[in-house]
Amino acid sequence: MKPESAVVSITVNGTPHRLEADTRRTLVDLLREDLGLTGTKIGCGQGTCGACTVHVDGVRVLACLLLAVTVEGGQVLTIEGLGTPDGGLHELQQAFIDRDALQCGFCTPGQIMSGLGCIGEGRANTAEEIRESMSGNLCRCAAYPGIVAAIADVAEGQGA
Amino acid sequence: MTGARTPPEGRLPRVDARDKVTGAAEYTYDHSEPGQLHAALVCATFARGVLRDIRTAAAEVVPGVRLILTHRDTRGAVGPGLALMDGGQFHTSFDPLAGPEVRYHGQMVALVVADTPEQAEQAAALVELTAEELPAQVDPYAADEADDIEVFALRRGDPAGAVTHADLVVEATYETAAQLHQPIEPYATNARWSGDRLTVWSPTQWVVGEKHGLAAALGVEPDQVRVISRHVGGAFGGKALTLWHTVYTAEAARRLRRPVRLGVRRGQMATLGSFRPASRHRVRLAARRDGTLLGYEHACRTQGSRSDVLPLGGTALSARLYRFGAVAVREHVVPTDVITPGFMRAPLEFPTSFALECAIDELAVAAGLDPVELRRLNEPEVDPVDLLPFSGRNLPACLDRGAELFGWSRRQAPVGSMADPRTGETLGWGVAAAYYPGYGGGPTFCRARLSGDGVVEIALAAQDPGTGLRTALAQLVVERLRADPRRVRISLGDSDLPLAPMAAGSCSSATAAAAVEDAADRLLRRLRDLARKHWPGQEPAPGQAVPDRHRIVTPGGTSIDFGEIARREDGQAVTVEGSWIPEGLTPGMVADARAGRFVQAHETTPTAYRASYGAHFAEVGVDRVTGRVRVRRMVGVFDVGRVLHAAMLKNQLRGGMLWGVGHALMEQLHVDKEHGRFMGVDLGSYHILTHADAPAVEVELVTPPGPHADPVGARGAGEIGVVGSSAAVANAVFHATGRRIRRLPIRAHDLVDQ
Amino acid sequence: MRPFEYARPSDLAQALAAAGPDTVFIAGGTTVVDLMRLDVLAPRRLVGLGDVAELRRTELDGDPVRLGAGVTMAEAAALPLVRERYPALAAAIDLAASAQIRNVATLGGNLLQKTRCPYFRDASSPCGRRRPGDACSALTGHLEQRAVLGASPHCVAPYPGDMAVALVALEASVEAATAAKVVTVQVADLFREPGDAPHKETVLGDGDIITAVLLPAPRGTSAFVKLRDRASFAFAAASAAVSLELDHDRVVAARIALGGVATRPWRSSEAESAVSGERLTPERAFAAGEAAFEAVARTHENRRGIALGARAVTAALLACRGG
Repeated sequence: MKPESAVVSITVNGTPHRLEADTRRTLVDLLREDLGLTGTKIGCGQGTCGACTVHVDGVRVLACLLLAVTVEGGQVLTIEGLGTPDGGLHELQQAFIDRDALQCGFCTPGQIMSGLGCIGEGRANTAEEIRESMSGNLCRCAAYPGIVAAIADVAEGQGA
Repeated sequence: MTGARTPPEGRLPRVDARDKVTGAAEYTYDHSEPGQLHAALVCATFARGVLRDIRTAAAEVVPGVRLILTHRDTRGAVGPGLALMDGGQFHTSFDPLAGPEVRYHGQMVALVVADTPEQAEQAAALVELTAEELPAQVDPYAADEADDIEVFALRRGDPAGAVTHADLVVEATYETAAQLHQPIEPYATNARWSGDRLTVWSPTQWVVGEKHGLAAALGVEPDQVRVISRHVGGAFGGKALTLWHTVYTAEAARRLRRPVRLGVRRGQMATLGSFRPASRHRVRLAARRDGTLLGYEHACRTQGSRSDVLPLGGTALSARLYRFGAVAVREHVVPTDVITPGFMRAPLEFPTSFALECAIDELAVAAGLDPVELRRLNEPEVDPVDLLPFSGRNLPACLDRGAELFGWSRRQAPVGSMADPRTGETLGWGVAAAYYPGYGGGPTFCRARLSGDGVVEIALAAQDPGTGLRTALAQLVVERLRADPRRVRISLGDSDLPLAPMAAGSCSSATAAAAVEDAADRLLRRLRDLARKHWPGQEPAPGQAVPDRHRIVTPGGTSIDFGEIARREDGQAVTVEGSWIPEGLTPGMVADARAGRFVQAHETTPTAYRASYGAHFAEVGVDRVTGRVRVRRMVGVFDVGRVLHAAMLKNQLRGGMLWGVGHALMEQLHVDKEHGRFMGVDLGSYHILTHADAPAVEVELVTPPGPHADPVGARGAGEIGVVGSSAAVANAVFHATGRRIRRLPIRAHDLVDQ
Repeated sequence: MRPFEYARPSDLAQALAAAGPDTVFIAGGTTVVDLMRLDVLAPRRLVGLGDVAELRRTELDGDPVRLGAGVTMAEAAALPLVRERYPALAAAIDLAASAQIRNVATLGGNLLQKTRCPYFRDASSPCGRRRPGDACSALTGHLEQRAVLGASPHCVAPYPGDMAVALVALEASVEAATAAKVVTVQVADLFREPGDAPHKETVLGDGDIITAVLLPAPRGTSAFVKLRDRASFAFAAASAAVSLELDHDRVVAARIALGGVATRPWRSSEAESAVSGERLTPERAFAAGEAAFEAVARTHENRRGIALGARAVTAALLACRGG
């Protein structure tokens, strides 16, 4: 093995993987290129749009700003890991459909993963709080009102 | 915030939403091919000049590097490609790898291909350029006016003369900043050759144009090229035309005999495709004391490039907005050393409407009139330019309904007289009109195929870059055929499908719908005929005239599933073709469209001028200490003709209105005049709206009876939302602060600086 | 990005020993990865600090309060102690970047983040902060947000962070480990003005590691205000942190720091003097904001920075007053 590569052990959506990777490989490229999980999108590659949001060890992070080698041993959850084993949707995915919280759909997986984090962190109590907590996820179609409504629907349902 | 979990507006939910919320929807960069290689671009690091050397030695020894394409390798092998304005499909006729000439900072000068994206990126960074540099002018307002190119002028009557006997004259200069589309999906290309046949995955608003543009530039026949663009991650005009990096990715794949994928970096996007040019507007309005308009003069200078001339002034449209009395408008393009600007959401209408709708607000203040009232007062009976009747003009209705929803009657006219005691903000309420021409669209064909499993597939080479076209068409088919939505498929975004136009001009949904409606009707007639043929029987029983969902009732009264009919046919399928040729298009124009040229019917027909109208109302809160402007709520009411699917339309209209908020308060492309370049083009520096900036937006549609542009009667909603939205915000800022900021974006320091 | 080796030391001693030429430490990585992709940083070795337990050592019951430098911004802002006793710090973290970035960015890494000057971030532009001896491109080019305070002919790039500004107003320090010893440095003294050596950003050496942020017991109340073009997810166009000891509405002592408008987190003795001993009225708060820029000659280029910097100070003072 070349010094510029490393073995990365990582669990993605419950499945453990052990891969040799270029040390330069980012988590988002590892997910997409090595594991074929292309639901996580690359919008900017520099932490400014949120399209690559996934969860690592239970918190929402930007997969474009993490080198895969630094996530060694991590538990990763991506958009493909949501929903039920029989193909059913996660309730936040369903809420996005119900609220038509998208247009082009490119930022949508990141919005959903971030929205889950927002709810999990207890920052979905008011529309204003959701908006601030979700501001790391840009939507150029500006489907923002629907996204906020979808997150609020799920947060309310869980709080009830 | 609670709401029933029912599909919006009682219609079909967005039909591709499931794929989009699960990550299953495939965008260009998601596609991979076995043996695929990876490309990266090298862009010019100086403003203008001639490349003397491109040193590639360091890049070539990077492990995995397969190819470095520069002008030295490609001359003669590629091109030419014609710009749209010259009858082609390209964003610009200037091929950046045609020779050593560099016309703008950031111009693509080389394409590197390697085994992995990391290797390609590393090698691209190691390519060294030496050049003979020349001075560059990127500031349109510093450019010599003698070089301006007049692209449009129109005069009706004598508005300058009107000034001499007017009671009120408003004369001011307005500016809009250069802006970027910034779709969240970056440009990307995937190219694969199988023998002499090329398949390209590309995020485009025009698969047909891309196919013909690529064929021309690569020297192959159009039928050797297939372009696939099933999902596009935001376009807004920036993905309308063929871009040169797409050509060179395909060229690299041809040379390497391997599939090649290019993912463009965010910071490179600004100089690989179009942008909204900076514009400056001199507006003069003359009016009687009672607010009656007597004259409108509007001269605008719009930034251009040295490669192409693209008129983006838009005064031919603003000149029809009110009963102006007399009109004189002129438009100039200012050549500068930048990549050619281009179409960005309401390219003609956004800048012009900002200038005019702010000037109208200034006139209302001067006249002491309510700005809604002033607009109503100057409502024209006929189109003031061609004296044609309007085809469905509902601006007064939009203004009235918007005012009602917004609570406009509670507005206190004096500047700074409204406040929110809870936040301490000064409030301002502003209004502006919206308009967008009702282009007639291009020739559209579609195939409807019913297969033995009962699935109705509608296929055409149109695109849905988030507009909701798939959903609107599915809705139409469901209604027309009483089809089961679960057994309707809409296939778009593939140049092998029947001809359809570019997703542009807010008319592609209407034209696609017209063709699909035709196909659906033909299919239904065929099914009835086949039912009669295969199930001969008696007269239908009374009360059985209405068929069940996805079924045909035979003359004998039997209810038969669509699929059962298809299974009786040879090939287990029933296929029909539908079409829509907009009024005014000649057979020659239809042939042009088939040859991949842009064809679109005008908004003016021999008998009418057709356009969509709307009204924006905005409330801003201005922090008295910091000058922070916050748009607190907006109301928009629009007449966009017949509504195919209200939820899809409203989502787009809300998005457009929110674009107007971003355009008003933050979006601008910074220019470094000294070094002749744009600065801060990535999403960290070029700010677009975030969640926290987005106010509550209420949208309502006014749907009039009356004549329609086409059998479907729908006009699009993609662009009108941004027209006038920024003016409503600027007018609200004036109402709050008394400061008339005539240059976008309006920012806090403009409001607190002494 | 250039190829590099990656090392992951398991304790502080190993980490310090791993320092060397062409070596960069990486904690959360939100700055380092970004700059490596831009070819602005091109280390041959990257040393990950994720396993260094010493950097997580946090002591909330001490004086000073100790927050490990490897604690994430999100973790720090969630501490009830931080929210209750150091509101300026909590606000500065809450308003920084985005939730996703705060979840990985560490306190130490945040302090050491690099300027957002686009010429610094463009590897092809000359920049003395990036390459010693280069001329400053921003000086002749377009940098809307140029530093109004502390600039030199060699660099006009503003320090971008928020948290350091709050820490200066709170008179906090950092603890740093060098190969030889542990040192404590006031955050106010941590950053250098560019002078004629803009590449020397802090008083620390290249191989030193910030190990903790030390917060003295708060005196009075504090507030942080951030102004920018959009409501969230943007660096400060101007920010101000204020820590005030009040006797009713009279200011007994004030510590005022500015961000976004200076080459380093900027403590303004002029603004402090303008309010010390005075009643905290809106007029007085306004005068304090103006005082911070009294010595600066107005130009077209610095008009925005001065206007927003002054108003940030005013707003932060008024926030301490409770509105």
